[in-house]
Amino acid sequence: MLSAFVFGARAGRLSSWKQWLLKTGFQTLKVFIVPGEDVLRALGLELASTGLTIARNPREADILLITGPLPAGLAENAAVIFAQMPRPRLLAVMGELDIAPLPAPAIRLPLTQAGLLALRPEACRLLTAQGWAPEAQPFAPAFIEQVIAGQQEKGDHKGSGSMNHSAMEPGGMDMEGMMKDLDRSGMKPPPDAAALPVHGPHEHHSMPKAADKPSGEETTNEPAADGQHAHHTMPPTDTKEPPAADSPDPGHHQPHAAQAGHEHSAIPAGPMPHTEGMDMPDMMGDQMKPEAGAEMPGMDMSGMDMGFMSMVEMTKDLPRSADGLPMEASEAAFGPFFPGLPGGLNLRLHLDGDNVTKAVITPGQPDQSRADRLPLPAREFAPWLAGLDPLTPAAYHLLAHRALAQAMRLPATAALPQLIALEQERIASHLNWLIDFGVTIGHAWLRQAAEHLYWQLRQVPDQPAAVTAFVRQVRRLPLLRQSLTGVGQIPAPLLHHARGPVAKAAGISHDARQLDPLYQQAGFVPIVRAENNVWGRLQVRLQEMLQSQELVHRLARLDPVSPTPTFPTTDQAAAGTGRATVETPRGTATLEVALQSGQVTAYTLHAPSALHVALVNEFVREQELGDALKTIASLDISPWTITA
Amino acid sequence: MENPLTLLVVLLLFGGGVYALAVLEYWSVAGQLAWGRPARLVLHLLLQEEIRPRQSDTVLYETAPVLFLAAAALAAAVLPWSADAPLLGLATGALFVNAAFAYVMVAMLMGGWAVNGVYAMLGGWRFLGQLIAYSMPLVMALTATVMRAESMLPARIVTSQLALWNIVYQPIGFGLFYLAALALAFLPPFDFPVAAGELAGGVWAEFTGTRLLLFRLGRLLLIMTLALAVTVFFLGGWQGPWLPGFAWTFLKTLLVAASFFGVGRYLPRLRYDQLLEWSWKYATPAALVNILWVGILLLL
Amino acid sequence: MKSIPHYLLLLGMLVVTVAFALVLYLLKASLGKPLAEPGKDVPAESGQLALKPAWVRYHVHYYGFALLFLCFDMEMAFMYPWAVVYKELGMTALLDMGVFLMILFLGLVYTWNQGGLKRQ
Repeated sequence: MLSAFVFGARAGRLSSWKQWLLKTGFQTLKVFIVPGEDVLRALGLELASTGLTIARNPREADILLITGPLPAGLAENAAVIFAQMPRPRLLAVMGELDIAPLPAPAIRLPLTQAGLLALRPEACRLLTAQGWAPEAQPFAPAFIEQVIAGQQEKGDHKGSGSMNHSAMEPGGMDMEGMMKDLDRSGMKPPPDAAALPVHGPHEHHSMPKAADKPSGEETTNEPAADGQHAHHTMPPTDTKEPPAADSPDPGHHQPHAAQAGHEHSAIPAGPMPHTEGMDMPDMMGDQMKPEAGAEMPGMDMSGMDMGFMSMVEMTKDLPRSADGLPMEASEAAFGPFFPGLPGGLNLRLHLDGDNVTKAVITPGQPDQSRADRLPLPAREFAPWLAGLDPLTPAAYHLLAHRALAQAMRLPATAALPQLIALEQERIASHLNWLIDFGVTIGHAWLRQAAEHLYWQLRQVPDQPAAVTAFVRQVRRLPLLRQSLTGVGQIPAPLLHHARGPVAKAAGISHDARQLDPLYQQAGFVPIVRAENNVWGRLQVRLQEMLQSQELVHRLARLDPVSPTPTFPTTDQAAAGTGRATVETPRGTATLEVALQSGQVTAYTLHAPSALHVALVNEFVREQELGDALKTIASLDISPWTITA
Repeated sequence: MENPLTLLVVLLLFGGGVYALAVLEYWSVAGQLAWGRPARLVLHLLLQEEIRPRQSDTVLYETAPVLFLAAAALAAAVLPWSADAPLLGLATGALFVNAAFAYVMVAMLMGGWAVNGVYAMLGGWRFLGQLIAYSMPLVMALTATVMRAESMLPARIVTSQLALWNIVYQPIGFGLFYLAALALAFLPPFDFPVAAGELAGGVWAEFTGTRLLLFRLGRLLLIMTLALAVTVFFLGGWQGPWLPGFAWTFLKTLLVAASFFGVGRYLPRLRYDQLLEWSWKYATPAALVNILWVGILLLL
Repeated sequence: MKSIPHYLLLLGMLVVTVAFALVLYLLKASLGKPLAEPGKDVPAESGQLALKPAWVRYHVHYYGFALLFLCFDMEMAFMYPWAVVYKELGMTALLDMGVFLMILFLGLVYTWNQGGLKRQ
C-alpha cells in the first residue's frame, strides 16, 4: 500500500536504527477520531480494549480514524486535521465513506469491533515498515492551498503580519483602535488577515468601524455581516459605543480585495482631532513581533505632525469591554473536532480575553449523498432516518415508523420492544453525554466511571444496581455542585426554545411520552426540577437514567398489545401525510412525511437540537470560556440533526 | 558536594524517581503499572516530526521548553537528600527555590505567546493568573518553615524538624503549600493551561517532537522537585528510623508525588478566577494566620 | 561571598540543561527534516484553519488580583530576612512585622470589600 502511504511517511530512507525506533516508539499509538468519540461509542466500538489512546489534538496523534458520517464540510475539516498531524501518520477509515479531500486511506476496516481491534496491529505493521519512505509527498489539497494563498496575497498587499484584526463585533468588542484613527485620517485600513475558514458562512471581513467620520471621507467601512448575525443586541453591560458604529448594514459585504493598496486620500479638514499625530509605531511597538517584521501599512507619517497623544484620547471612541477597557477581541473555532464537545459541531467563539462574548454554532451542510436518495420506498425510510443521527438511531427509527404508520392510516400500534429500545437508548445516550461532559469539566473519575458503565450496559442492558450506584456516586462528588450551579442559566424569555432535559431542568415539564398510552399504563411522570443551570441538567439526565431503568421493567411487565408492526410491503398505492412525535434523549422530535404511491417523497424533521442551537447563538454571552463550554456541552446538541 | 559517590546515588535516585513518576502518572489514569511506557513515549516523541508554527516568535518558542526544564532542575539542585548529601547548600535555599519556580510561569507564558495560536494564548495567560493565585500561599508557607529553622538553608530546615515534623507543627502551612504545589505543576484540578477539555492541549498544543519531550520531562521534573520540596520543608526530609537518609527522602517524595496524581481525579476543574478568589480571600489570610501561629509557637 | 561556587554550579547546571536539550535536538535532526506541507504549520484549531495571528492586546480579567499580588510580593521580600532572625529577636520582631502585615491585611480586606477580588 505504498501509494497510500506517501502522505503519511516521513521523507528519508529507512535505516535499521530508524526501524528500531519505529518498532518501539509505536507501541503506544494515539488516535484522533473523526467525527468524534461519541459517535464511535454510539456505533458500539470500544477503543479501550484495542490498546490505543485517544489524542485530543492533531499534533499528538498518529492515526486519523474516520468512522461515522462525514458530510462534505466535515471532510474538509478532517483533511485539515490530517494535514496538521506530524508524520509518520496514518489514515484509517472504517466503513464505506467518501472522504474526498483526504487521500486514499492506508487502512480500511469494517465498521465492527473486530475491525477496530485489527487497527493497532495493522497500524504498527505499516508504520514500522514505512515510517520513512523516500517517495513521501506533501499532502496539499487544493482548498487549503487556496485559503493560504488568499491570505498571503492579502498579506503581501498590505504588508501586515502582526496586526491583529479580529472579527468585527457589531455589538461589542474592540477592533484595532488605531485603525479607526487611521480611518479618520483618511487612510485605508490595513487589511485583515482574516481567516477564511473552511466554511463559507464564517466569512468575517473584519473592518474597522470608522467613528465620527467627517463627511468628506469616502471610506465606507462596514462590517460584513453574514446572514447569521441577525442579532445586534448589545450585551447588557455598559459598553460605550461610538455612535456611528451602531447600525451596520447587514447587506453590505465589502470584500477586501477591493481595497487594495493604500489610498492616501487628502487629509480632510474639519473637526479632526490630532489623531494622525499619534505615535503609532511606538504604541504598537510592543505588539509588533520582530520576525513578523511588517510595519504598519498605510502609516506614511512622514508628512505629519507627531504631536502628543494621550492614551485617553487615543482610545476615546473605541468600543469597550464590560469593565470599560478597550481591548482586542479574538475569535477561535472550537469545533468541529473539539474534545468534549459533540463531534461535528461547528462552534466558533468570539473571545475578549477569555470571556466569551458570543458563541456561534453553524449548521453543517446536509449530506448530499443522503439527500439524493429520496424518494424512498416506505420500508426503507425508517432505517434511513435512523442513520441520520448516529447518536440516537433507535429514537429516529421509531419516529419514522410512527409517522409512516400514520401516513398509511394504519391503526396506532404500540410496539413494546421499540419502546424498550428507546428507553435503553436514552440511558446509553445520557451516559455517552456524561463521558464527554467529564472531559469538558476535567473530571477524570467521572469520565472513566461513565465509560465503564456505558460498556457494561452495552453488554448486559439490564443492570439497575450498577446504574443506581453510579448515579448516587455522581451526586456525591465533591465540589461538582458548586462548580456547576450558577453556570448556564437560560434567561426566561428564551426558555421556550428549550427541549428535553434542558427544559425539564428549568421547570417545563413537557414530554412526548406523557401522551403515549403505553407509558401512561406504565405510570410515567415527567421529571421536573427548578434548577435552570448546568447542574440541574446533569441531575435531570441522571434522574432520567433511573427513570428509564424503571420504565423498562414496567413496560416489560405490561401485556404486549401486538407484535412489532411491519409495513405491508405490497401496498404500492399508499399515499398521504403523517406526523409523529417521539421523545428522543435530547428532546421532543417531530416528523412529517409525505407518501406517494408507497414512496416517501418529502419529510420535515423538527429536531430539538436545532432549537438549542438558536438558544446558544443568543444566550451564551459574557461568560468565562470554561463556563461557556460547559453550558454548550450541557445542552447536548446533536450536530447531525441540524443542517442548513 | 562532599562525596562523589553519594552524589551519584542521589542523581540515580532522582532520575529513577522521575521515571517512576511517569509510571505513576499513567497508573493514576489507567490503573496499570506500565514500566516500559515512558521509555517508549520518549522514543515516540523523538521520531515524530517537529512542526514549527508559522509566524511564531522564534526566540520565545525555542526558549520556553528549555527554560521550563531548567527551572525545575535548578530548583531541585538546592534541596538536600540526606545529612551527608545536602547538594548545593545555598544559604538562601528556600528563597532560591521560589525564584526558580517563578521561571516555570515565565516559560509557560513564553510558550503560550510564542505559538501565535488562540488556544495557547489563552493557556499562557491563564497560567499567569494561576501564578497570582498560588504564589502567596506558597511563599508564606515557606516563610513559616524558615521562621522555625531560623535559616533559609534547606538542610537546616530539615534538622529543625527533628522534634516534630512541620506537617504537625504547622498543618495549615502544609495544606497551603500542598495545594499551591498542585497549582504550580498545573495538575488536575488546576490544569488550566494544558486542559484537554477546554483548550485542546493549550500551551503545549503546538509543540511537537523534542520540544514537547522537554516540556513533559520538565513537568515530571517539576513534580518531583515539588514533592521533594514538600518532603524537605514539611515532612522531615531524610529523618527516619532504619533506612539511610536518602532512601527515606526518596520514599517520602514518591509518596507525596503519588498523592499529587491521585488527588485531582475526583475534583472537577474549577474556573481559574474562582481559584484566584479562593486564594486571595481564604488562602492568603490563612497563610498569614499560619505565620502568626508559628510566630507565637516559637516564642512560647 | 561564600556562595559564589554554589551559583557557579547552578550556572553550570543551566548550561548542562541547555546542552542536554541541544543533544536531543541534534538527535532529532539526524532523523530528517519535516516535510513542508500547506496547512501543517497553521496552529491547530480543531479542524479549521486559524490564519489570523493571535497576538492581540489580550484582556486579562484578573488585574485586580495582580495589583494586590504586587503589594504582597513586596511584603514577602521583607519577610524573608525577618523570618531568619525572628526567633532571636523575639517579641519585638513579631510586633513589628505584625504591624506591617496588619496594614497590608487591611488593604486586602478593603479590596475585598470594594469588589476588587473578582473577575473583572
